[in-house]
Amino acid sequence: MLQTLSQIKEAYIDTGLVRYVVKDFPLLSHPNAAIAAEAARCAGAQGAYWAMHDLLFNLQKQWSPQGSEQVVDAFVGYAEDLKLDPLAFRQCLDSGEFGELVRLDVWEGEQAGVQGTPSFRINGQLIRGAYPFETFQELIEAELENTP
Amino acid sequence: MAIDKGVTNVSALRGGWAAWQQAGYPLEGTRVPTPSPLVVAIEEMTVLGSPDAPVTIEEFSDFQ
Repeated sequence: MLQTLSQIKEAYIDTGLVRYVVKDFPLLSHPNAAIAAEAARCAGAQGAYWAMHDLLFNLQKQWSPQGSEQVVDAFVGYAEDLKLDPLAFRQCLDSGEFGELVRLDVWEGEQAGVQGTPSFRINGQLIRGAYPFETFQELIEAELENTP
Repeated sequence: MAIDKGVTNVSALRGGWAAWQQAGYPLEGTRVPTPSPLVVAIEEMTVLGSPDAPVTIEEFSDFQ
């Protein structure tokens, strides 16, 4: 998805045609998903949401199998790699500062009919599953044609 | 503490005006309350692109 997002960014976000919003939908079957979502936001509190977002996806195989304590240590290590304040980052994770926002996203997704990830809403229309850039291109162009 | 307040504000805003009142936020006549810069910053950290863009894509995703 990172590659597709990169293509969407270049063609549509950077040109002002698309606004792209990430909503967290950690699945219960993925035990580290919720804390990963909070880790991205804790990095965001230090201005590095997207850097941590990309890192978490790129290093997914590294942190996914870890236990709950080790995974926090791994995320703090990533925060250090990104030159963030590791103490503030760990405190953010330990306090669950962004847990409520993550849960709000899940609630919003459930209300929208999201059942799995990734899912997308394009101007409110729900699309389930991962698709190549070309599919998004068609859907975006169709929406742009309908824009007055 | 400021973050906690911000999170509550977000919840209230998502519930609309009634939720705002129910959450006990101050009423100043009929003026619609505006979120603090902190709330906006928290909400916007996961967003790329212009708020005026004609197309909005929301991605529901799971890092794992």
